[in-house]
Amino acid sequence: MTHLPPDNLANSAADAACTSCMENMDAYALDALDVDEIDSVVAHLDACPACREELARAREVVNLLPFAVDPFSPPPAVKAGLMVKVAAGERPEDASPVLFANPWRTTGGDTPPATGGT
Amino acid sequence: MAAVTHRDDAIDMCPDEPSDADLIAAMEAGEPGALEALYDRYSRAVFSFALRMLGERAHAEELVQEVFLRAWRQSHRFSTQRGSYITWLLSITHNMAIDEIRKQNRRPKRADADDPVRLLGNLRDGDAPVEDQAVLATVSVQVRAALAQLPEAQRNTIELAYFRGLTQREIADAQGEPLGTVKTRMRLALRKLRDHLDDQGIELT
Repeated sequence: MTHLPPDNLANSAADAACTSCMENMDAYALDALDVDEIDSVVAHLDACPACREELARAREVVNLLPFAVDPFSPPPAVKAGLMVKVAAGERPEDASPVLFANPWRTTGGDTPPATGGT
Repeated sequence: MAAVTHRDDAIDMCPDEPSDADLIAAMEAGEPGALEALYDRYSRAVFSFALRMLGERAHAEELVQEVFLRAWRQSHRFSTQRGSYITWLLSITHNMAIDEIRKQNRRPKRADADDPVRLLGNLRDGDAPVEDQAVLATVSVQVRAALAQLPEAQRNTIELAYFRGLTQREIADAQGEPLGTVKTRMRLALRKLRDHLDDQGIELT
């Protein structure tokens, strides 16, 4: 059996992880992964700057898709209701950093990080 | 003003208006007037996108309020160094709409739901600020053109994934195609969109 040198083994494993991540990158950027697929992508992105760069490139395109829709303005009552809620006591949260916040996950209702200009 | 621009428009279109950054700072200081100004600037884009995804006007209106309430509460989470404010708002809109679609298993129920003009008739409005309309309309035209030049199968995949909230597995099941085919279509579609928009001078910020 042929054994690769340790460095090559490590590189091979990294390449395989990148390949696996890349296969799901576009779906991740489009928010089209199933929940059980997200964790492995997020874990790899945490450790791989090259794949994060690829994700940023995919999101640059995805971020333009909302502009393809027909334009409509919400009725005035929406704004009025919003401002009533604000006046009733909604306040900006403290700006202290959020511990353990995952910067790559975009599903689950958490507010996403601003992306696209990295 | 939107930071997603055509290159020819990459100047400040509203020099007398406070910048997004100024308004966000004012929101962090607790000034509701700043939220109101940002709402006036961007609610049209948020509502239009929410309506497109949810397909029901009442749900879209609720979502707009939720998006701007979150923007108010979490204004400190936006950084002008990492992208435009409208992109951030639309990302929140997409996340919340996807959650709603998947939670309720809600899909637009009418065959013509893709076309809100037919659904909503005379609600199309023309009273948004002229300068905002001009820049965003230019971007809109280019993005529509980019989508239109995609092969139908790729365009449908983007539609189902991004605007309808289906996962890639659900798309494969719905279309009776291998998962790998769906992944390939997504990859090719995003690549072609990038190439087309770059050729047309749309800044991808």
